[in-house]
Amino acid sequence: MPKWGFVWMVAWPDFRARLQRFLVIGLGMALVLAITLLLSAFSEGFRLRSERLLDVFGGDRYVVAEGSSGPMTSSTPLPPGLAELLADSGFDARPLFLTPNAVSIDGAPAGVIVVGSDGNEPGLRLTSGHPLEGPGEALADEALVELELGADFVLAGRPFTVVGTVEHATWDIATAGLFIDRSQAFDMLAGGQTIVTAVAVDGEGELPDLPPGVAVQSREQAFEDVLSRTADAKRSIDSFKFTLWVLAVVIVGAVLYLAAIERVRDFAIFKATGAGNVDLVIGLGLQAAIVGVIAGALSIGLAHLMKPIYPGLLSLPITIAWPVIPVSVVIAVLSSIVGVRRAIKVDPSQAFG
Amino acid sequence: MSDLIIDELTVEYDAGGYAVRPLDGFSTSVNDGSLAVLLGPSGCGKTTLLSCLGGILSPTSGSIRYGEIEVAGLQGAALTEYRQRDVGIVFQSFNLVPSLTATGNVMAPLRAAGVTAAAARRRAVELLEHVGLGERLGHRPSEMSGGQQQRVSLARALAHDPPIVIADEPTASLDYVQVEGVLRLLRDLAAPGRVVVVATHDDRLLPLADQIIEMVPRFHDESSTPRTTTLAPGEVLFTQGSRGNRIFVIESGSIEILREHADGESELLATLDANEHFGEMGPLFGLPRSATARAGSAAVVVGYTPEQFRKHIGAERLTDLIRHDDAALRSNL
Repeated sequence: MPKWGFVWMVAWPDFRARLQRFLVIGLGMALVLAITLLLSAFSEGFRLRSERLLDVFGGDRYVVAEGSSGPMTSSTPLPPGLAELLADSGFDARPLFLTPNAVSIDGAPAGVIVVGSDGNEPGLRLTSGHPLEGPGEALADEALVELELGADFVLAGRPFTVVGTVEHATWDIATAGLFIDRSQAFDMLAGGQTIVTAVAVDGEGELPDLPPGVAVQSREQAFEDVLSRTADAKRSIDSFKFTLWVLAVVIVGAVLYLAAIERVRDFAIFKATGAGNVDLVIGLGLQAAIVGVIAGALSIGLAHLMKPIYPGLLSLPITIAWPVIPVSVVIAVLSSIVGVRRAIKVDPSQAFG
Repeated sequence: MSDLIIDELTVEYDAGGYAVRPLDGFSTSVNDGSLAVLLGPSGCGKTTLLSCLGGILSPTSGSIRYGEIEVAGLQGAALTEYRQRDVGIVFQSFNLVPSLTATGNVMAPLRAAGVTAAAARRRAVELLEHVGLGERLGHRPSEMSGGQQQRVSLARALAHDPPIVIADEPTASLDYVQVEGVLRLLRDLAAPGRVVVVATHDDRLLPLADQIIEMVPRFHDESSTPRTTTLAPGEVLFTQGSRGNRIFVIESGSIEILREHADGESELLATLDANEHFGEMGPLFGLPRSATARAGSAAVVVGYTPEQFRKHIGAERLTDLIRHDDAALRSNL
């Protein structure tokens, strides 16, 4: 049974006496953890971005071509008349026309998702300019930084001017949405045919019988489909986070080991005067845990301070941020293992001489 | 009330593959209520003996008995309990924990034994006041003089009111003003129910001691006559780790010098012939023999005391002998 009073004597007075050193360790660890938090925020940004993209187009369910990936990522045409069929059954159904393409900006190509807009996207919000009023006009997502308000560009050989910018219409890190008049989109990109790539359906209740070759996806399925486009990036981020945690363990472990070496005489004295290994080990672990708590808390503050430096949508809600504190404690305690092993090995006879 | 009885205590360890015995069959006893002083040069095993008494070094063989406790046989929790309750240690360089105050340093062993904070604090304050540090309770070691630190160290050693108190060179780091208080405290500690064992070079302690234990035996063959010994082949003249006061010159025959390894094997270091000498460093510097001397063939050797040997070869040659590289082997004997 640990003697907690003694454990506290091993940990706290020494912690206070060497506060500056421990704060430096904590700050270094906090910086590394803050970067991992920002990476988490970046990763979480993918989820938020996917949610917001679906919000732009609305819909509780989506009708898509059977076998296609999803309403936001598939340009496979649906049989005609689906939206009308659903509307006749009392559902609020909005046909969508989305297709990947490329624009030429000052001669340089850039990938976009072209949205044939009927001005009826429930979540589309202008951040500047005015809504579409006719052919030759475009609304560009803010992520397309080259296409600022008033910018001219070429799409499928036709000149366009950006008349407004919108937010939250991004598919992944590199692909943003470009809204043009739907009729013009059909003319330019579908040979004049009316094409529907998905139908967004609002409202509960059983859908009417749908023709063969179509499928219904829930909002969750549509969300996962959009999110899947960032899966590789997320995996890379997670790997990088893991690398940073290992780095934190190595850095903090090295410093805590050096700190333990400095206390070899202390440990020898404690042992020579009757202290057990268990209490010393817990004492050192407690010091590491205190460093971990400080580093974890500092890292949350640092991450929020550093967030504006990084472009893109970073989401750092408290549910993502707070677990860094126990993670930090675990890292610090793991890091202290080498130092703890050194303390256990100390021969009490070293107190002599 | 018990005496401290040390019987045939041997400590052997491996030093670079060679077996070293700082204590080799050492026996003594300290009466209850006594202050015993261990005297001897550096390397004679004083600190090793204290480490064994303190339960922080296990002897290779032999026993240390105090009342019902067989210290040499303690292990695990029993050993920890012995360190906590039965022995108090005063270290040469105070060895206070720098981050703890005087009170904290005295409380530490009490808290390690599970004594409550309030009781440990009361005891620490009582002891620190007893050693005259009532005004320094909240001071850290860096804020105290050497004498004050040593008194804190004494108070810490007494935290559990142990029946055995050991002190390793307790006055070595103190000036003469500070020594007085520490000596008085050590003397006062030796009372019925307790033994105090102090290792020191400081002869100021000798008048206070009830018992002086010389770690290096005095030799009583100080006669001016060199001693001739005849050895049969294979007969051992002296063994590694033993002590002696004779330096030997070979009259006839040969002597093999062997060093014992930690694994029990022996290594032949040299074979010396007539007119060569060996075994000078041990007697000259009060060290144990670091090798065994054995007759390689029937041999006659003459043993000289260091004084006789100096006369025999001359002081200048003696210095040369110690310094000379090719005498390195013999210098180790």
